[in-house]
Amino acid sequence: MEIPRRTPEQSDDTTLLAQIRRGDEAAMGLLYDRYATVLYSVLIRVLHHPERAEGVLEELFLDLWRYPEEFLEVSGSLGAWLAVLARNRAIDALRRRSAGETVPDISMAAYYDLSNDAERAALVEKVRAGVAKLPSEQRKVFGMAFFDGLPPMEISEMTGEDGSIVKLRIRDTLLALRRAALA
Amino acid sequence: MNTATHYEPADLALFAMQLLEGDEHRRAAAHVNGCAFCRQELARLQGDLAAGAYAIEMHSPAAGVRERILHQAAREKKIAPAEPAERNPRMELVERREPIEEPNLVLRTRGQRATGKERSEREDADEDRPSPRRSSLLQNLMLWLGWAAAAGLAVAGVWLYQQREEYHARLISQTGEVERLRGEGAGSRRLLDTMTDASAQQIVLSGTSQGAGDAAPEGHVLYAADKGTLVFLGSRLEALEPGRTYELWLIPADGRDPIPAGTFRPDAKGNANVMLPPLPRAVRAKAFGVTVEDGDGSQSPTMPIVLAGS
Repeated sequence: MEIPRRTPEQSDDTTLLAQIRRGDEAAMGLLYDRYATVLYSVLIRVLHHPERAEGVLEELFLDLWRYPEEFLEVSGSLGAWLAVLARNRAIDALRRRSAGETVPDISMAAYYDLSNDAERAALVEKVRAGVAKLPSEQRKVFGMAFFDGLPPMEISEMTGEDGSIVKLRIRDTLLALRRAALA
Repeated sequence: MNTATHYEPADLALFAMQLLEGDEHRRAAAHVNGCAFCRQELARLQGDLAAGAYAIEMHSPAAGVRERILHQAAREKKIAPAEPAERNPRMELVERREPIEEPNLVLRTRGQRATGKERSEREDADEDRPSPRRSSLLQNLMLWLGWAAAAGLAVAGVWLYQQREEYHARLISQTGEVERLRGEGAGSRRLLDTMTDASAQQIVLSGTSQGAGDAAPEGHVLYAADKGTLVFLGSRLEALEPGRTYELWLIPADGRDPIPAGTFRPDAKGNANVMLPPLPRAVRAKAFGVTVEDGDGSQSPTMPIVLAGS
């Protein structure tokens, strides 16, 4: 039986990055269409400011255009890496933090292929369902840490919970996200 | 925070989220840098964080953002010409034509109306001047010279424009070549790192011979789990029919599904290789296998396994 070939829209991220390295603007457009919504959603969730979020989004994609080989060297899922990178850059922008306090080399053990539209949609559905099952306090604490960039001590002061409980809530949420993604 | 040898997952999670401050962050970074176990756990946590990012409510950026990014990308790639500083050759033609008409304008407008006396003196003086016919010839000659100069300038303008376009094209071509060489350099470095990495796993894959007396196919894998880099060399591989391909699989030690590690087709001598396929980092391998798949490969292996090794 004839195996249907992938259309350009279905090309995997590595192929698109290789095309970007050769200066292919269409490949850039395809990667943008694939990931801009989730990256912008992360940025707006952290920054609460559409113009600043758009600014960081532009920087992120232009970095991808200027230095595609750096993104090619990242093993694992580009979509997952970009999402974490967007969150970290938004937090940096929020705090005007120096580069010395960032985690420069992101290794990513992603168990899903986010370049595949169906798999991406399935992941979104699974993790949302997983998060919905968490107690509201746990969701709140994780949101304060991940999206607001607050350290445990500050969260502890705001919620009245002990710092060690805050850390456990964060860890448990991450484990729940892993279970949901692998479900 | 730190147990006897490793960071607790909760602290690594804070490190992954960049929520440790100053010295605490630097200590964690130094530890992770030298501890494969914690690096692996950190990689898992980063994957979890990415999943968390995908769980939020989605919003689309304004349509103009895509346009701006692609426009900027196009400008940077093409090294935009400095338009204000350069002349458009078409405009140059128009500009150069105007002075040609100027002699006529001068003749018509610069001369002041003469009085009767002046006119008489001028008529006397005119006897020493060239005749009207000679004057007309001179005017025509000047006109033609003007046209000729304009035509010369236009030709020069076109030539300069073509030269600039040629230099521009060469610049773009050479920029592309530099980018290609940079990319190849990065790949070569990773390849060399993999081949010289003392911690890399070396696995021999063996298969069964196709007939009595035939040597069995075999393969060699060099795999650096922490970097997610892999090199595969196969030999004595059976030729495949069109539309079929060999596919290498990484079997994770933690029991997860096999991960595709590249497709390949052997050459006429039965040799093939896979260099640096895209793989997740920090996945320990229990074994490697090779299957035959349709088309450009598959996301899950199709039995039988023609080469295997652990």
